Amino acid sequence: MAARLRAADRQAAEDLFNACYPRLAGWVRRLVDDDETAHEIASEAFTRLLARWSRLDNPQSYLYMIATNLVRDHWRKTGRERRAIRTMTAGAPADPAYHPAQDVDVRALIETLPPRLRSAFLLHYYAGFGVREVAGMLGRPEGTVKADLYHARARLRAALGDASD
Amino acid sequence: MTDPRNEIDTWLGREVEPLPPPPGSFDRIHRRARRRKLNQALTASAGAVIVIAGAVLIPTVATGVLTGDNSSPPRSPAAAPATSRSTAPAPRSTPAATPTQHVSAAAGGTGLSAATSGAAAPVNFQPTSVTMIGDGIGAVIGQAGVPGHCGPPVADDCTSLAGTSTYGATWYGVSAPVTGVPAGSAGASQLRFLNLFYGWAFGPGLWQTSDQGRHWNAVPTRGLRVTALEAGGSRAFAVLARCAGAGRAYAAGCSTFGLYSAVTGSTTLQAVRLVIPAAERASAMGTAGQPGAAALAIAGDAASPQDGTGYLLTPAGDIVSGSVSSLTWTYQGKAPCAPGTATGTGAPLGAQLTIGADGGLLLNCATVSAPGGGQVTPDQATQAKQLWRSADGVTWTKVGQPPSQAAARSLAGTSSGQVVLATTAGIDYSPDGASWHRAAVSGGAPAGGFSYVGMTSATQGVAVPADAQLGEIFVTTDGGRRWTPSRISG
Repeated sequence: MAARLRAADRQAAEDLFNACYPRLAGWVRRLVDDDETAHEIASEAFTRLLARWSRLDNPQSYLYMIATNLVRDHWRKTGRERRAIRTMTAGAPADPAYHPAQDVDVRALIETLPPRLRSAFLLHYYAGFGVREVAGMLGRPEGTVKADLYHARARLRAALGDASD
Repeated sequence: MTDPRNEIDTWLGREVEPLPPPPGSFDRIHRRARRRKLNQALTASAGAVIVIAGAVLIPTVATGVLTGDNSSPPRSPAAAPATSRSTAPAPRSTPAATPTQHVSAAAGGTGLSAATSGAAAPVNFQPTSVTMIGDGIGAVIGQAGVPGHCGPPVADDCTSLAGTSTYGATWYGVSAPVTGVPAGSAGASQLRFLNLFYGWAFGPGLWQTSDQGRHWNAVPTRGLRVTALEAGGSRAFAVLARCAGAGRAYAAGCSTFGLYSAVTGSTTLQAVRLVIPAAERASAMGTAGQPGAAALAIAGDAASPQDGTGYLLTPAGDIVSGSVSSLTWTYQGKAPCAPGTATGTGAPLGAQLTIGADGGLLLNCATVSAPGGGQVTPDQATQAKQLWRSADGVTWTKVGQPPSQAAARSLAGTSSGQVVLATTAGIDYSPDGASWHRAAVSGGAPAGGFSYVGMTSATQGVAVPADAQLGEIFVTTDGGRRWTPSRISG
């Protein structure tokens, strides 16, 4: 009986993996722009999910929350790397392939949003969760999430306006 | 200078392109998770004494979800009262014979399971829809109990679910959306599960679950009624319509239609863009004041679920299709027939669409005008039928003529080529779509025949009688030749 339940659990986990992995990895790739990193983050999110399999009510919410946090960590790390490279190459000639217009990049601007606004923004506008679900996932009232989304968009518009002036 | 608003909207509006996992990913992840689970268990048992001594400190770590700890789970709806009490319907118990069989919302409800929930199936269960997800696991939705004695929280709301892990041999209770029998634009009568976790109850309203049916959340439809829904990849696709039907005939008199989609776990519907040539566009999705219907089918791909293809038969008889990962579907061509009008629950009377062998389309075209040009009646005694097949919705080949006795209601095919047709008099079976036989139904076909038939594999299938009060569905294990009843309430 226990073996049958274990087999059923594994099948259920595999069903969930097949149903959710491609979209989760695709979602992450839009945020990190690199297939390898997207697979690493999606795989790690699934590993953490399966490690606490029997204790979760809403596995998809959990996956996206984990992935959001891992993307945030990745941005922090790559930001440190970018700063280090800039310091090392400060005196070198400019990259001929560089175009100032590339700075007007919504994703780069989202990286600069405060964590509180960024999580709600990514989960609602990007992962497709409704305001109520985002509120449940982040443990905030719906009204607060709506306000966070409003402020996030306002900041992005202002930043885009500044960048393209 | 570009408008910042457009730039953000364009970026947000871009559809996420699925990224399939490298081969062997699931096995690697599964092994890694097991190792981690084992390490956690060893750490927990080694640290038991410290946990007791450090009881004041441990909760601070355990509630890390609010402080950005990656590894903490989100709060469940039941644990977030501000959310679940305000607008989301509370999970309801399954109506049952005695209060002791009810499952409290605080306990989190009972879900679909690979074994059983442990709760008894509700009494007096009258199934109106069934969904199967493989390995013998499936569920039915319908009305159960006695109005005025259902709930809590609403004594008159008796919509109920029952699950099976034995392909209908046994049934157990599953939590259901808090709603009543279909009445105009309210209620639920149909059910689809994508897998063990994600499901949708619909017709005419719409609810979704992300946790095996333990909790159900209403999906706003802005007054439109859901007349069809299928799931594939990580999305559900639904046909929503403006309808005039009342009572249980909620999908009668529907005149304008739209295709929408929701990601698994989401209560937000997004419009699917239908790219239809200008000459066909005006009336493709119906004409105001002119009753019509639409049909939906999804060809899944077990090896690569994100590569499935969805097909919509529009009220005008156009086939529009697209990837289950896409919110843009494109016109393929004209089907051999149009759906005509619909039954009270949205099933087209003039055309039944389904997926057959090799993921191709099967379409039964049924005459919906009575001899002499009179008005067709739902229980017409004879009806000319033609079965058509298409690999892509562009070109069609006629493959057979199902028996003319009775009116067609629902069509199903298998990957091995068998075809079954539910009618108002019973079930017709064909091994290849060309030659047809009347299927054997234990105890005789129920009065009114069947409203739905579906095949899960080359051998297993389910059918729902038109008369829900029978309290049973029918099951086949030989590819559709013979059908036996499965009673939901014990």
